[in-house]
Amino acid sequence: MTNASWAWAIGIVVGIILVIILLRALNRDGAVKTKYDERQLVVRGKAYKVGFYSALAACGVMMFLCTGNFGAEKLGYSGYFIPILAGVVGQVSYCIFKDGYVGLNTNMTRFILIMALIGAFNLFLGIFAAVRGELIVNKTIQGPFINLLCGIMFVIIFAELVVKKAIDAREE
Amino acid sequence: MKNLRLKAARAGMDLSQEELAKAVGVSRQTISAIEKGDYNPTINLCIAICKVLGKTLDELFWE
Repeated sequence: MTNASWAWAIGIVVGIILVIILLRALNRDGAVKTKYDERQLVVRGKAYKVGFYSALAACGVMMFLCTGNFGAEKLGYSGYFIPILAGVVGQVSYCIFKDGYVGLNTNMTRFILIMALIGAFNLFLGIFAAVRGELIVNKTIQGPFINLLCGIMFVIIFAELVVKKAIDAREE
Repeated sequence: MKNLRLKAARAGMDLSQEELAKAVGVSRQTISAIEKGDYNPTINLCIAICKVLGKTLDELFWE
């Protein structure tokens, strides 16, 4: 394994540990598992379908861009993340607006706050790399571009959650 | 189709959607969706709602 492979593997392990800690902080009962009711489980099932087709559509677009000489190959491995993030945004957006994203034991305000913090942190890392000139090396986009993409994704999710909270408050 | 009988039974017991939702272990939005007719609940949830509201399945859910 190369150093970069080790860095990815360690990053994934650290990421899983962070997610567990965040879930415990987000859930009112301190549980790692978020609880959903029967309607939410149905919504989440449909949302995975939406996410799957969003990822497929994004894969199609990426393949088109790669074969059409649009320079998409210069995205480097961050190009793999675009369909993944498209799938996540599709799944999460459907869930949020169909009331399937925030679990029964989730603290909504804390949830929105953490989304904003994660988004801001990722945007900071991406912009910091861009300022230092580390975003594009040898005409190929580098890893920190993923931070920018993730930051944009979390900002989208944050905005959707705020809008949904406002809609719910008006309904109540 | 809207479930006005459920809404009336809930209001009759002076319960909010949130309170009924907590009593039966679902989200407020699920109770709202059932009342609006946007969600068809399982028999288990119907029974739980009937128990909390002191009604029969016929009274609340039979067309």
